[in-house]
Amino acid sequence: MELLDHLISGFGIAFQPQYFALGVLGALLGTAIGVLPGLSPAVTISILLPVTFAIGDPIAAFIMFGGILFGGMYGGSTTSVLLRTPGESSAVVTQLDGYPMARAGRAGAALATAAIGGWIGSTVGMVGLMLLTEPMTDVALSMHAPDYFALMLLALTIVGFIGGHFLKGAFALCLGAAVSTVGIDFESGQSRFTYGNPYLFDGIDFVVAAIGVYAVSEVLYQLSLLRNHHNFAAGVRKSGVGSRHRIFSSSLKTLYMDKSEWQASARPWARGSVIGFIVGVLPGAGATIASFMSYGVERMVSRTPERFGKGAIEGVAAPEAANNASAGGALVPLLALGIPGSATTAVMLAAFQGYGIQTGPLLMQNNADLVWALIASLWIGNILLLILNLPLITVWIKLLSVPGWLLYPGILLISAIGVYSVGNSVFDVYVVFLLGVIGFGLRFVGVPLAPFLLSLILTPMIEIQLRRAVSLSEGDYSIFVTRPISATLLCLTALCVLIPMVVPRIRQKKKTRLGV
Amino acid sequence: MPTKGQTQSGQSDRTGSPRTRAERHLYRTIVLVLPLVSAWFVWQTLQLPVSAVSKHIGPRTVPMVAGVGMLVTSTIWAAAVLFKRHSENQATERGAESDELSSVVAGNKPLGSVDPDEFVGSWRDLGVSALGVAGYVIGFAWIGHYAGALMAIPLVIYFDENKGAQRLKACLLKVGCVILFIIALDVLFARLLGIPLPGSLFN
Repeated sequence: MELLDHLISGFGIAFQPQYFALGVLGALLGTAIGVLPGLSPAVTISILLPVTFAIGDPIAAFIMFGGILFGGMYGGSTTSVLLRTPGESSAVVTQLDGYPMARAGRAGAALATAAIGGWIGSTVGMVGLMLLTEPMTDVALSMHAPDYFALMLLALTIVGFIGGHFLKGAFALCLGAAVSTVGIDFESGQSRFTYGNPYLFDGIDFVVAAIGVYAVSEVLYQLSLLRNHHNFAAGVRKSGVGSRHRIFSSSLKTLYMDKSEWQASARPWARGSVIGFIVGVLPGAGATIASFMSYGVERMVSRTPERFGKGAIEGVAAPEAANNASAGGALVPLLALGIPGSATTAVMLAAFQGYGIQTGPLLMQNNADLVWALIASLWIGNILLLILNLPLITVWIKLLSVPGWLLYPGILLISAIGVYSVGNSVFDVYVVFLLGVIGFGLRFVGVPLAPFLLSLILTPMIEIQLRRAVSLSEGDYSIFVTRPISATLLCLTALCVLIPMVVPRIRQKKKTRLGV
Repeated sequence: MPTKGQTQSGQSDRTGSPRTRAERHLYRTIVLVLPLVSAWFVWQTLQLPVSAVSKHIGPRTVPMVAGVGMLVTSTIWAAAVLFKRHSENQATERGAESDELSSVVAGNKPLGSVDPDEFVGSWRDLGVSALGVAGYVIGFAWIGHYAGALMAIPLVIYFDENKGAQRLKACLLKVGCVILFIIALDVLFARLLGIPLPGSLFN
């Protein structure tokens, strides 16, 4: 009952005209950036963050960010199905069966199952968010500095070491940690790596780093491929809405699923939603892994796995439910523990910090209005996305015809102005472009950027907790292994480091033994 | 002769397009520079004084852990690249993380097979873009918002597929749109958000 009361009060705030309008704006903006390759919710939120600081209303900002987060998930699937051009990495798997479905004249059914699956996934994600946040907050309140240190270390380790290239992930983590130490050490008052430059005394602002590493490097990367964009955008423009889209326009008139398609989609929606939420709660896993995992599960449980990749509706339904559910799941550790699990939630954490809101277990107590308004606005945005997205499909497709020479310099312009407005400092503008060039180099050699960003925001917090823990124990480092929570978390951390090192070697040995 | 989308070596970058020799050199240079940067960071950390305030965790501790971590990982990586045990192609494809949107997207775009000749264009585009960006930053920082944005106009003209004397009108129209956009941003920030940009006309 208490949950419902909170939710109703949240709806009371979210339905206020200005917040409702911002929620809709966020959902539409999120869908648009979801459609456009090269733009992600993390980039958009980081660019908009300085602007929302100027507005000064955290509820308004977070309602809009929530809309962007969910809208991005919806938008990615549309172009994935119709044009085989996923706007988001989490929608990549959708094209495997969505595009063959579209080619077979079932584009409408593919988009419908994606949208309904997305809605179900988001709903499951939000129910999970509501149910889990408070119990997790209670657990978090019983935790102390050594436990927090171990938990943050575990979050970083999962992000950096699991699911990618071991060395590159570890390098990204360490680089993020190194950059985060620039500035005056709060305890000793010692300046670190500032070289007498007063602009660096406060360190490198996270928003500046996020815009530089994500947005500016992406702009540089996309500009380097602009000639290819020319061909693509020109193709989309010349054919009206897009040659492939024109081919599928007849099948789009039938935005419904027949009985057998409803039956085939129902279980994948449910399975995808549950998998997506669980994966979303884990730090670092994110929507992409959730969608790939749910696709794999569907293929595994299917009696006819050979249909996958050739237009199986389950291959669209499950990943779309999973990536939307993971967006809700990702908010749980952020709201309950103050620990982000993805690049987008890391930017949202920076937003909390920018507004002077203390994240972690006290967030629910001190800023309950904000949290419940955010959750309520996600419900509203989710329904609006379902209603708006299908009729607006042609509009979203047309967005792809925006030429790169206009889009990317525009992003650059807004990024520079946004960064300037964070601290009215031209120095930040230099820093953002320097970080953009570094980010481009890291992208070029395949170093993942999400661990870098998460490390950048988590390392100062880890340093604080480490110092608190060691002063509590008066210099006795055994405090980390004598407390059950921290000992367990540190064991998990060690496993996360060892598994990616050991498992490939065991596989390699097996292969060698079998003579493969 | 390499076919479309393939080089003689058959190597490709993370977009699934072939890696040119210049790209392979750049990849190797960046990877080999990383241990040097890491070593420099460790050396700089060693220059930090040991704190008299904090007995256990001083200002050196976290930077040292980060620096040593960078040094170890980048050295192993560089050694692997140097001794060819780790082919650039494999490394790049395995390193295409799930969060790397552009890599995943580009790899799945119907642009897949790109003529190797187009990479000449890509490098030139990147060079022009970098100059445009540098011009923008310097203009913005030294003179102001308008100067910076006007530096970006040559970028727009360069990338405009309608460039040429016969399309002058279309080009001017687009430049006009860019100028209006710049003014609109100035109005938005200076008047509506109360953040005067450097060199703002509406402050």
